[in-house]
Amino acid sequence: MNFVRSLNMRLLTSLFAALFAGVSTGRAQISPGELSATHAALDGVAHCTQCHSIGKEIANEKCFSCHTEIKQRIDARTGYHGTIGSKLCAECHKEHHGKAFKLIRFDPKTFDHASIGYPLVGKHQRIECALCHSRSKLARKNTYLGLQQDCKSCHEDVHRGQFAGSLCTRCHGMDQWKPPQFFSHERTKYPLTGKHAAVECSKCHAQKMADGKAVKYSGINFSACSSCHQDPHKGKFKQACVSCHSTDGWDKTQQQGFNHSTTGYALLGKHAGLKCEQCHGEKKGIRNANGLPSYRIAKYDRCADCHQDVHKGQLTKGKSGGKCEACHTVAGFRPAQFSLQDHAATRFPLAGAHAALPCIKCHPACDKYHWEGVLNCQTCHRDIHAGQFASKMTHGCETCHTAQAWDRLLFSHDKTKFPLRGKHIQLECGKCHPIVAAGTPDEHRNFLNAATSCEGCHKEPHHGQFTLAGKTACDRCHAAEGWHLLSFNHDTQTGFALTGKHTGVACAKCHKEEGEPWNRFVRYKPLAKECKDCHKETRL
Amino acid sequence: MEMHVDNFLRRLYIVMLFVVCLFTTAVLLYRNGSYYVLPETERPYHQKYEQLKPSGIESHAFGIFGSVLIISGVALYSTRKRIRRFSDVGRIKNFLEVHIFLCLFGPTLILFHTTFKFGGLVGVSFWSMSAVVLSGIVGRFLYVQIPKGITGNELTAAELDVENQRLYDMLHVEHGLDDETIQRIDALALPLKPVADLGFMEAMSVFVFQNRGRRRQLRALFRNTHAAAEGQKVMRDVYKIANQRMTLMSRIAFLEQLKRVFHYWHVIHLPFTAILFIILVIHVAVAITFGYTWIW
Repeated sequence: MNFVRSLNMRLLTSLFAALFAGVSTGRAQISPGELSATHAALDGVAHCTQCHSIGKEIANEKCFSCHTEIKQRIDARTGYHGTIGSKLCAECHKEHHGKAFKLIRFDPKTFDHASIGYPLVGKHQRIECALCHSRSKLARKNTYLGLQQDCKSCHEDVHRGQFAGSLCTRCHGMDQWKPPQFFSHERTKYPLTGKHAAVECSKCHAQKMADGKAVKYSGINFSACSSCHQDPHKGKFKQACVSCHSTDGWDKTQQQGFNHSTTGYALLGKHAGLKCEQCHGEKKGIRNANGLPSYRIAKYDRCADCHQDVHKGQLTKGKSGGKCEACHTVAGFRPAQFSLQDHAATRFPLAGAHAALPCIKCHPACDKYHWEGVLNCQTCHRDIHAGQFASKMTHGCETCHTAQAWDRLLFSHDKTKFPLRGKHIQLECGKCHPIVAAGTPDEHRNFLNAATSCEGCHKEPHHGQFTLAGKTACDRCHAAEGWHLLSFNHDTQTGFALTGKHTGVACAKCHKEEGEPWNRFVRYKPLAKECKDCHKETRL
Repeated sequence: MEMHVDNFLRRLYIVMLFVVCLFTTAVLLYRNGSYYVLPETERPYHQKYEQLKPSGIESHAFGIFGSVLIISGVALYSTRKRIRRFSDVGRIKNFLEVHIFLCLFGPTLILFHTTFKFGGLVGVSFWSMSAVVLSGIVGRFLYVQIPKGITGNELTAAELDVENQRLYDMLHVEHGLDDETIQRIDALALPLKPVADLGFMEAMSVFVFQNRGRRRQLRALFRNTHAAAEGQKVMRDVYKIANQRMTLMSRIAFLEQLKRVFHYWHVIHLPFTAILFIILVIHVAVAITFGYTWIW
């Protein structure tokens, strides 16, 4: 009975336990825990092998049979999964941790976006994840997959495919679209040089695309300057604009290549060596209608259009009418090309020493080329004769002087009241014509009122012995060839003819010196004529 | 003396077994506690997740060794107890102790193998195991309530009488307690109502709870005896013997009920053990099938 009771109890208990186990088993599963909500459909004994391989734990192939997009990314090595290599899915996505378990533990705030091969820089760093990831091309929601990395997948191509072959990041940064941070016109077929670099983009890229909104950046004709600029030369010049002009400014011509002759004003002589700005442009204050510095010079035919007339119009009355070219060339203003022949055509042909003079001697300043009135020696030279001959010479200074030299005189003393004879000829003029008024402005040599008598220049040594009516006729005895060359004839010019032995007697025997010690003279007359006056009486 | 030493060593041995269990538990909790306290959804992100997840190298080892310990413990004890051929091998009591140790330590390791996660079919096995362990603890309590000899076999009625008499002689003859005192001691062992008048549940309730105040009453009883006047050591000895007698008397009084409970305990302990092992086998088979073979 006890055994039966015991057996019944055991059976009863076993049935209870089995029921308990069966119910539990029926509700439970052989898995180590519930699957997450994402895989809830795979819960249950019948689905174990959908993820688990027999004898191989978890193999990735089982996961990829459903997660095909992940496999694509792993195969293509793109996205986050493209970087995981040969990791097992289960290493990151663990299961059997309950329905509430998140298979993807993802904190958007700390996620390293660079790990998927697309670092967030610039504005991308500051925007909400959903802003980009809401554009996923995948049908299912709540996924971070399905985006492309090229800009156009999220951003409108405002260039309407003009740069279809290029990446947006070639020009644009991630901080802002405008201005294009990395764009350099250098990389285009038209690098911007000179003033082009400072021009607003819209100035050249004003044209819009077909939609009327997008700016046309490519396909712009830039082969010639005239594609954008009007030709002010109206086709006169056949060569390309760049042969003369540069992008530094229309007014900054290419000096090396520019042929000035084509302008109608060939640069010759010194003009050729000048810098453009010395004649043109801002320095010269030449401006165009727009007020901009201009190279166009309105008047350039006459030298005076550029150069100042230093002659102050003095030469306008000349034969040349004031034309600079009459005397000057483009080789330089100096020296002037005005020759002696040219001077000869003036009122004052250069002769003699005048011709040897430098111009500056007579023309000390550029405005001293023309004289009004009479043009004579005194116009330039001071009358050193103090007017002695001014009124007396009909030809002025030329009466005596020539242009060869002042001292080359046309003057003949024979034409004066005192023709020069004998030793007079050898004398310097100053011997007979002394300077008067020395040290004064009126200093001159006395020519006109010079003495003509012997006493006028010579001292009378005879103490008036031969003076008659206040005049001494020295030439009665003396000649200009020398005082001692006497033309004196004792026999005819005295009252005592020298005869006999008297003829051999020295003059001093009879004509003795007398007078004060400081004023001695030879007594010539009167002398005694009697023998006793000279000879002692002797008695026989 | 030799008996004292034997007792000491025996107790030391028992204590060591417990220490091993407790120490292992403490170490594992200390090392891995931060993982176990995490909610389920956070555990995959613990740094030791790969080692401590049930299929991880560490937890999987716990499961394997724990299972081996349980199987060993059950097999050893059941073999010794039920197969006549081994009935003379050692003392059943020692096998029981080994069974208890292995079937406490094993489940402890199993507990760590589960990482305190009890879902799925194997959760049924776990709860079955828990029921077995708890019932085992209850059974152990019930077991010691049934008087046994030194070999661990149940004492017969005659042997109970002999033991009872021995204790009486020790109290009365060796320590001079009079009959009145001994009767008062015996009275403490018995319920207020006759056991036969108690229902089964009431009897168990009295047996468990009434014992709690009994020792205090016993101490109060001895204060006024001459043994107390003879000193603390004598008093301790007498108290010990009196306690043994009181306990024995109580057990004798409730013996039938205890045996009945112990009987019912078996019908719980064994089926759940069977469920435990059946699901364990399924669990292991599934794990191996899907490639979770630990270090192989």
